[in-house]
Amino acid sequence: MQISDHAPDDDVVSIDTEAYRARAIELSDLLDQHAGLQVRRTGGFGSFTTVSIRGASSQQTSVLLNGLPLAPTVVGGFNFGALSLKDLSGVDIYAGRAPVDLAQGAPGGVINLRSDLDGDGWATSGYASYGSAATWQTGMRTGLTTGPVTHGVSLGTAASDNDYSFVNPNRAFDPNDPDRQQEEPRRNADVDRQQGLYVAQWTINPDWTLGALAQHSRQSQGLPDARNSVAARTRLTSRQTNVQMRVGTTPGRRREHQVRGYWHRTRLDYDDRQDQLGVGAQLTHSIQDRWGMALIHARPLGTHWNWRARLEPSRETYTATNQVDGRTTAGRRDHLDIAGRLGWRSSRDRWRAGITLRHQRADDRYEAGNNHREGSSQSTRPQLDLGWQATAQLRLYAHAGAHVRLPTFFERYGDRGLFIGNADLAAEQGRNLNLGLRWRQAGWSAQLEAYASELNDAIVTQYDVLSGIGRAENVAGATVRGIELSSRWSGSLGWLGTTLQARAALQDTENTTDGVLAGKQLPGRFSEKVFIGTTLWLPGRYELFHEWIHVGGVFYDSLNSRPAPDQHEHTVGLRRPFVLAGSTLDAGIEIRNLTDERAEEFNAQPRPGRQFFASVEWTLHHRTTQGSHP
Amino acid sequence: MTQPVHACRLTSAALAALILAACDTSTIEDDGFVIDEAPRAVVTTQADDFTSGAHALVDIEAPYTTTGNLDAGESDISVTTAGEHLYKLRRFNLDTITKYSLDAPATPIWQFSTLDADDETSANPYDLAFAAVDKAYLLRYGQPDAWIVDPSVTAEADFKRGELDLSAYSPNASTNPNMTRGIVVDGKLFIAMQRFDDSFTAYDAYVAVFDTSTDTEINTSQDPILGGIPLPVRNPLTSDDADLIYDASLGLIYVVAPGSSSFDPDTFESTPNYDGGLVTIDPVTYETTLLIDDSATTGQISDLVIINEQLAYVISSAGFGNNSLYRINPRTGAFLDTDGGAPQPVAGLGGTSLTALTADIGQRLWVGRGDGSNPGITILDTLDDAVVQTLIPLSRNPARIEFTNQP
Repeated sequence: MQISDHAPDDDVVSIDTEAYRARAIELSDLLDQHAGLQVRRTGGFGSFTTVSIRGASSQQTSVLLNGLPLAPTVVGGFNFGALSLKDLSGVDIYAGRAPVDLAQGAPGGVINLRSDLDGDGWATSGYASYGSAATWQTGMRTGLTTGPVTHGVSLGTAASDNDYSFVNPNRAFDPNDPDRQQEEPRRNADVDRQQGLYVAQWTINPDWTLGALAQHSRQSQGLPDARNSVAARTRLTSRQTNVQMRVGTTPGRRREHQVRGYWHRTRLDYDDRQDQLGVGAQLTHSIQDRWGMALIHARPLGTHWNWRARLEPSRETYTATNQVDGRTTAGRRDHLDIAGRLGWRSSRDRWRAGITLRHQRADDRYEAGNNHREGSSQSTRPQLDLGWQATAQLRLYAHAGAHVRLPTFFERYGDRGLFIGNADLAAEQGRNLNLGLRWRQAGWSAQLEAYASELNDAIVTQYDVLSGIGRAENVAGATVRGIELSSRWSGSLGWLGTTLQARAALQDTENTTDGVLAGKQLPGRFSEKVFIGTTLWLPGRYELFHEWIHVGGVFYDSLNSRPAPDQHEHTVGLRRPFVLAGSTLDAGIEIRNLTDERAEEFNAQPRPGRQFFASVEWTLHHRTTQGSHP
Repeated sequence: MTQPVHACRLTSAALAALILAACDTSTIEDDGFVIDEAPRAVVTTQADDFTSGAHALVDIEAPYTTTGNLDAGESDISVTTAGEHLYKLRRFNLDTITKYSLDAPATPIWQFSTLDADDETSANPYDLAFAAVDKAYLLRYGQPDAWIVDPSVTAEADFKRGELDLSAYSPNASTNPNMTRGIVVDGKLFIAMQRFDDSFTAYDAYVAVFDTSTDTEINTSQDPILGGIPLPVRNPLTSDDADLIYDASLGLIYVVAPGSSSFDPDTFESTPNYDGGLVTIDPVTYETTLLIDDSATTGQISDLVIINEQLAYVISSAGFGNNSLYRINPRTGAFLDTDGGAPQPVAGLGGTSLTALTADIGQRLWVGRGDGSNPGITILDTLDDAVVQTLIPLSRNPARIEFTNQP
C-alpha cells in the first residue's frame, strides 16, 4: 500500500516526477506545463506561487497531500513555491471534480500531491543543481527494507539569491540614467529552503498494511517591494510539518477498509516592521494546525454495483500574534466531510457510472481577546460520473457535479486595518460539467476535454471608496467554458527517437455580474495556453529537449483594462545518463527562458529572464537490505 | 491662488458659453490656471474591487459626454487638474506623478518618480498643492518631507526644487506625519497631517503652515511644542475626494475628519471612536473651531462642499458603503434638515454608497455613486435638491471629482 493510495480513477491527469531527473525544475514549472492549470508566480525560485484549475481561483482549488488536506481553509493563499518537487513522486490533477476518496471538493477541482514509496522502496540517490542567480539544490534519498517494513528518507536543501537583473521603471530618479534603461538586480528576493521526508510502509499481514509519513520543510525568503528598494528587509519564514498514518486493507481485496490520521501545521513568521509592503508595520507569528482522521470503506454490492464511502472529521486551528501591536487573534474550524459513491459497471466493464453525494459541514469559532464569534455552514452536493470504453483505444467520459468553497476566517471576521470581515458571507457555489474522450494506442495518446462551470455567490473584495476599507462580498458570478487538448506521441524520426507532447487550452471566463463587469474576462485567467515539449533521443544516449509555453489573454483587472503581456517561454536542455559501476549518473544542462522574455504574472513582480542551470542526479542501482518475512 | 467660491447659478445649457464671462471670475486669480475653454469634470475612477483605476473627463452640460478609461492602470491613484493639465498621482508603492494635457488626456507628457534615492518606504504621493504654475508642493504621505516641485518642467532632473521637513510631526521615530492634503491661501501653504503610529493608532492631527515665499514654517503659536495648528479632530481628509477647502467669503479653511476607528471585540467590527467632525481654521489667526463634533447621530463626516455662506453639503458615513448626503450651514455647522434633532439626508441620497462630492461653477452638486455594477455621478440642483441628472454612467466608482478652470 502506498501512503497515498486511493481508488483508481480513469480520467485523472497524473504527473510522474521521476521523468524530471537531473532537471532544475520546480513544482510550479511542472504544473505550468499542463494546459488547464493557471500558475502565477511573483518572481524566481521559491517565490510566492498560486495554482488554480480551469478558470477557478486558487482559493477554489483544493490542495492535498496523499489525499489529505494540505492547504488550510481558514486563511487562504497557499504558496506552491514553498514546496520541493524532490519530495514528491507524483501529482494528480482532478479538474472540476473530486473522487470520493478525496472528500473535500472545490469548484475548481483538486491537486493531489503524492509522496509514494516505490513498490520495492526507494533506491539510494543524490542530486545537485546549480544555476543563474546563485540558485542551487542538493539532496539525497534512500530506501531500506527490513523485514515487512520499507522505509524511505529524503533530505534536501535549496537556495537562490534571486538577484536576476531587470529594468526597474519604479525606481527613483537617477541623473546618470534618466530614462531608467539600466538593469539592476532584484533585491531582497533570496530564498533558502530545507526539507526532510520520511515514509514507511509495513505489510502487517497479507490482508493489512500500514503506511506512515513525516515531513517537515522550512523556507525563508525575502519579499521584495515594488520599488526594488536597496533597503527592503521584509521577510517571510514558513515551516510546514505533515504527519500521516494509514492502516488499511491491502489493495485488491473485495472489501476495503482504511483509517487515516493526519496532522498538518503551517507556521508563518512575517517580518515587515519597516512597513515596506503596506497595511502597517507587522511582526506576525501565525500557526495553523489541522488534524483529523478519515475512515474509508468500500465493498462490492453484487456483480455490477459497488459502494465507496468516506467519513472525515477534522479540526483546523489558527493563532496569530502581531508583536508590534500585541494583538492576538485565534480561530477554530471543525469540519465534518462525508462522501459516498454508488458505482455501477457493466458486465465487460465497458460502461462505468457513479453517483457521489458529499456533505460538508463547518463550524467556525473566531476569537479576539476574550470574545468570540461563531458561525456554521453546511451543504450537500451531488456529483455524477459516466464512462464508456468504446473500443480498446477510445474511452468517452463525463463528469458533472457541484461544489462549494467556504469563506476564510479573514473574509468572515478579519480586521486588518484596511480590510474588515463580513460575518454574513456565504460559501461560493460552483457547478461543473466535463465531457471528454481519450485515445490510447501504442506510441500515441490523446485526450480532449470540454468543460463548463458556473460560479455563483463568488466572493470578491470590494472597497468603500469613501473610507478605503475593503470587505469581501458575495457579489459575483461567472461562467467558464473551455476546451483542453493533450497529446503524447513517441516514435522515431529517421534515426532520431522522438517524444512529442502537446497540450493546449482555450477558455472563456465570462463575468456574469450585472453592469460594467458583464461579459468581462475574470482577472488573472488566461484565454489560451499552449505547451509543446519535444524530446529527441540522440545517439550516445543524449536527450535533447525543448519546451515552449505560451500563455495569452490575461488581464490584471476585472474590467479588462490592464492586459498582461503574453508569455512565450522557451526552455532547452541536454541530458545524458552515464552508467557507472553499480550506479547511474544523470547529468543535464538547461537554459530556461531562452529568449529572455520579461514576464510579470503579478503586476510589478518581474520574473527572471534567461537563466542557465546544470544538474546531476546519481542513483545507486537498486539494492535493499532484505530482512526475513515473518 | 485662492479657491473660487460664489460663482453664479447657470443652467447647464448656458454653462459653456458663459463660463468665462458671466461668472464672478474676479475671485479667481488669473495666474495661468484659467484656460479658454468650458470647464469639464476630471474624475478619478477606481474599480470596485480595486484592481484598476483611470481618469475620465465629463462635459458639464447635457448630454454629459464622457471620455473615460483614460490611461487605465493601477487603482491607487488620484488625479488633480491645474490650468490646461492633469496630474495623476500614483500612490502606494507606485510612487510616480504623471502629467497630461487636457487636449490629449490619455497621453502622458511625462512621468516622474516621487521617490528619493534613499527612501526606504513608498513615498505614497497624496496631493499636489499649487502656489504657481511653476511651483507646487508634492505631499508625500509615506515620507516625512514634502517636495517643492516645478510641474512646468520637461526634464525630471529639474522637477524637484526643494523639501519641506515635517518630521517633527511624526508621532514616533519609526513613522511619519502622514501629510494628506495641502492648500495655498494668501501666500501660505497649509498642510494637513493624519499622524498614525505603527499600529494604525491615530494621534492628534495637525496642520503645518509654511510661507510660500521663503518655504519656511510659520510658528502659529497654537501649540506649545510644535509650530503647527493642532486640530480638535483625528484622522482628517481620508477620502480621496476630501480637500482642504478655503472659502474666501467666510475667510475660513474647512477640514473634514472621519475620525478614527477601533476594533470592537464585542461586534468583531471596526467601530468609530467619534473623534472627528468638521473644523474651520482661520488662515490669519490660526484659531480652530469645531463646527460639527461627530457622533452616532451625525455619522463620520467624510466630504464637504460649500455652495454659499448659508449652504454646504457633507457626506457622512455610518458604515461600509452606508453614506448619506446632508445639508448644513457652513457658518454654524448646523444640519439644515432635521427630524426630532436627527439630521435628515437629501432625498434619495441616504444610506447608500456615496464616493465624492463637488459643485460645478453653476452651483450644481456632483455626487459620486459607488456601485460595483453601475457606478456614476448624480447631479443635483442646490436650489431645491432636485435631480438634474440621475446618473452619468462610469465604468468605475468615482473617487474624486474636480473641475477644470477652477484653480
